[in-house]
Amino acid sequence: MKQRVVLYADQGKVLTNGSIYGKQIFLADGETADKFTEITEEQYEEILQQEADAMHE
Amino acid sequence: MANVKLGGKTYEGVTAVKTDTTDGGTAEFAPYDETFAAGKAEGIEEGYANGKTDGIAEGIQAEYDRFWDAAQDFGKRRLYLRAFASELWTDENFKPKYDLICSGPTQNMFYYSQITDLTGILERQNVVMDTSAATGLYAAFHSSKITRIPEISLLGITPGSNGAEAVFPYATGLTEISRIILPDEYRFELKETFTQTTSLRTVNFEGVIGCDINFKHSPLSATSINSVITHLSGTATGKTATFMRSAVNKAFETAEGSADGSSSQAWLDLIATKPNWTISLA
Repeated sequence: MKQRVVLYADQGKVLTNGSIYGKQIFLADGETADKFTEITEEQYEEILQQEADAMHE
Repeated sequence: MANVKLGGKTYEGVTAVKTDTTDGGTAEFAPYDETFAAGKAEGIEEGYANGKTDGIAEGIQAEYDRFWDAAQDFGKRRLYLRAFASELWTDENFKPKYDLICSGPTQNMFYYSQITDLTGILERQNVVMDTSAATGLYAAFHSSKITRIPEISLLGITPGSNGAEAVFPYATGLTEISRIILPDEYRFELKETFTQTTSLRTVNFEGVIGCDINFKHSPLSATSINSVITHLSGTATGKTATFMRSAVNKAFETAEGSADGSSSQAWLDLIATKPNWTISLA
């Protein structure tokens, strides 16, 4: 069985490529880790809040 | 009928209505006319009370029928756009008389509704809700208090529309969606559909999930996580399914309390069935 590439965020961080967010990401076949960076959990919460505000507009 | 003595007088043709147990079996009887009058009065009072009670019940039923016959057009209503949106609607007054056959735009159907056990109410009312012909269900259950939802069919959602987006967000008390029926091929997005469904544990899918899907706020059970992954498209590319990390860690934990599900073989075997999907644990 082919092994998946799994990305792990450091403590207090969240991984993202701009559209996907997660602390642990199992990449699909053919996907690479190149475009993923870490943001802080606070930054992630801000993004979630912005999404929430947009939903309630 | 008999002749009886009472208070020194003899009454002919009296119907005994009262007996007192006395020594020697002496009995006293009230005169027929008086007892008849008393009985009649009592009967009238009882009849009035019963009649009033029956009248009230019939009145309540008549008013219920009048309201719901009009609201649901004697069962012919098909448009339920915003039908039960607002805090006005509760378990006490939401008692549909006819099946809720939803056709066309059905956005905001239960938006901000205070109804809770939708599944239980529909069962008690012996009616069904059919959304298979709804062309849009955007925000249908947004911010509602609903806890259980029966089958939701998305088969009629207009392809390419936002009709299946934001269907359940902020329904923070929602624990169960018995079944979500999707088409067998990708037709629309499910963006924000499950945002802040922070109590959702049970969801069962039919059809194919061919777009990004996000349960980052939902503490799904193992069975439900299984259902989601099982119904992910086997051919879609560039798609992501997101789950709550703690939900996966608990659902697939190798021992009670170990919370190591995301590294368990059961989990790895499950996601291995959909190598074309990125699986994110948030």
